[in-house]
Amino acid sequence: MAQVFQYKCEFCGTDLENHWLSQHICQKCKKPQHFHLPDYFQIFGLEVRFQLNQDELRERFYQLAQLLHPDRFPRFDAQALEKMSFINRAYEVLKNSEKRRNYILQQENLSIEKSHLPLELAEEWFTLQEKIHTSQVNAFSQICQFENQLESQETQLEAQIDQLEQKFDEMHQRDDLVLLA
Amino acid sequence: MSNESVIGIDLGTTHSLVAVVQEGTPQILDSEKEAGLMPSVVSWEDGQLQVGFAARKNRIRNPKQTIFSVKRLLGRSAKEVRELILPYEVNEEKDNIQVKLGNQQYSPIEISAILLRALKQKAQDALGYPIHQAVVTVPAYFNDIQRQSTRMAGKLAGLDILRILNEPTAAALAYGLSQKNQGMIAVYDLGGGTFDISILRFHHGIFEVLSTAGDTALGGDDIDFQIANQMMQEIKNQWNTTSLTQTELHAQILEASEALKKSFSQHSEAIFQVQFQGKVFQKKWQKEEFETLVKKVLEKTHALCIQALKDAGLEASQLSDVILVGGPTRLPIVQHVVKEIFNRPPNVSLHPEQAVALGAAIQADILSGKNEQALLVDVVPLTLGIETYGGVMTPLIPRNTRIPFVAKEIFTTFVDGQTAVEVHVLQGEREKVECNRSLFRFKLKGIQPQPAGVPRIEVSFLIDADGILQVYAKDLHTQKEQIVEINPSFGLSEEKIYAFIEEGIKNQEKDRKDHQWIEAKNHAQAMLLNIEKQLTMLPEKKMKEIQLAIEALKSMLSQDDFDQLEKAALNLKEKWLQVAQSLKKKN
Repeated sequence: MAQVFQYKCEFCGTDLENHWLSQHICQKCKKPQHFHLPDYFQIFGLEVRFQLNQDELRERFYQLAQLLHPDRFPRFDAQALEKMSFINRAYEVLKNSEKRRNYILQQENLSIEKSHLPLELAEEWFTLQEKIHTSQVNAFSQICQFENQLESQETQLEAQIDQLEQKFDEMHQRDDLVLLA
Repeated sequence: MSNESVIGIDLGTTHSLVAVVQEGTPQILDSEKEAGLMPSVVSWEDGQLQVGFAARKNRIRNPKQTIFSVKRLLGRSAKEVRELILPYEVNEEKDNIQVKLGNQQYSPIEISAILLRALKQKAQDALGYPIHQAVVTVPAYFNDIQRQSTRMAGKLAGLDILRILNEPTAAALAYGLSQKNQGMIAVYDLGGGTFDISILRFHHGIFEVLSTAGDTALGGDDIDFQIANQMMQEIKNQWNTTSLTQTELHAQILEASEALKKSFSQHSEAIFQVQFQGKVFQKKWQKEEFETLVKKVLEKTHALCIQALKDAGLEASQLSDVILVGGPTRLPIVQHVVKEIFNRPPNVSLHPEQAVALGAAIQADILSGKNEQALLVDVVPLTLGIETYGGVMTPLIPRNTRIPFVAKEIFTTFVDGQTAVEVHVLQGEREKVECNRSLFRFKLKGIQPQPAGVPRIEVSFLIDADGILQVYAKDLHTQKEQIVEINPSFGLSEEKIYAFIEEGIKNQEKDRKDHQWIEAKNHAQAMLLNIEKQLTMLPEKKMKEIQLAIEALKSMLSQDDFDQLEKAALNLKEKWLQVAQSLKKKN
């Protein structure tokens, strides 16, 4: 559910329109507003989702840039500079599925454990190295084989993550995440 | 004030241009003295500073006193430029470079400022009103120091630099405005001394740079240098001398190498020739030999293009166009190399020398608030980081991050009671500190003495829309903020900077006076023409009176005295009005 808000311009007091883009700049005095909710999704007027429509995200980023990029302020505006710096960071995170996932988890105060190399994989790697060491002849084909295996495992994992993310997104409520902790 | 224009300047290694948007269209500015491209050359002759074409003529006649390709020296350390073969004197002072001109030492920034001042003058001559603000372009791959140096040069030239703009981005702006299409493009920008490759996305007026890569010491000049090196060797062999250090010969070889390169853009064979002390050296070059040499010089650009594509997350086939910028891209062999890299013939519709200046003018127009559709979203070309334990660079802002951008880092103390922490800021892609470019060191001072690890100083590294770094620090305990003085001195003392600006102001004063004089003179001549036409209509007595005033004014035209000229003009005007009035009464 998108948050309903009603804010006034912090400079001239005009009511800001109830639209995601309008929370960033006053229509009347054209001054950039402080972030009321410095949440990366909120900035773009998006609901928290593991899976985002990249075209829509980019479109919204462009809309924000058109309004808030420092080039749009002939007189230096420190707040615009600060806002655009923050928006660029938010965009960078939301654009990338892994960064976005980590961000959501971090916002829910779930620690992200640094991934360890799975034991079986490590073992396989050591055996491979030994094999290469003893017979250099088919080293190349063995490396290829190993890489192929790794790749298929990665694809599998990604598909699993994908499914999980879809499920989470369907559940909508962020509170559900906490239950899973 | 519609009369106040912001100009766009392409400050190139070999040539520079100035442009402005007039009635929505970007135009290259020409003056009577210098049309189009101004050679980026400064020379000293007969006690006078020459700039542009006048200076370029001295390259062979007076090579030691003719400074060219100064952009290659800008923001570089003495160590970096030692391998460049230049006919003029380059000195090292601590780690700063200076070039000798006349009997004075100039920093590369000052030479750049002299060029910028000439370009500003050129714009003023063409437009007829004073200019104060400019957008200046730099290679996208310029580091922080090179960008700061360019901005400093602008300041010395009496220009308020509204934006340091990346050259390929500027060219894309010029291209995009004429094409109005959507999609992704690559800009292959091979200048005189620098190479940039940028990948951009166009979308409804937005020009988003997705990635950029380059080399600030690779350009068309390198083709000349390679030819020159090879020819130097052959001349040595043929003339049987080992010590060919004569500067004039050196300058001639460079000049002939450039001429050879240029003739290959139209011909399939060319002759290299130098004459020195009565001896002549000649060599016929075949196209194949030349192309092999160029290919070798451009080899590096291939890997850089692949890297830029990878950083943008694209395949070459996803691009809708590859555009060429920079004089050397006129060479068919360069176009061929680009075709091989991207697997498609490049678009050669842009004017390779003018595109950057035109784009700078468009950006100037955007910044003046006159163009509300177009917007550039650019990136930082190099990773910014700090030195951490073990001589390792820890990245804070990765390359190709959209700017403006801010990264925050918390610093603390290692020793009890420590009151200052030193931070070493670096730019580059390598892991080891010494493999990257050291930007500067700064000290966080005034930390309250506390046990080690307790103080928490938050440092913000802000890269602004110019791609230039600013640093702020905040003590998280006291909430006290401070701006960290980075203060790169570039080997310029305060007095020197002041003297330079002062000189510029003096020149400005002189320019203003010159302008006033020309205006007054034009005005007087127009009045004379008008009155003389009607003179025969007057009664003889009145005519004599007027004729006296006319003669008085005419004699003032040839003298350089503004006040006297004005006085004489006023006198004639009054007399004429009196006569006109008395005639009216009679009628």
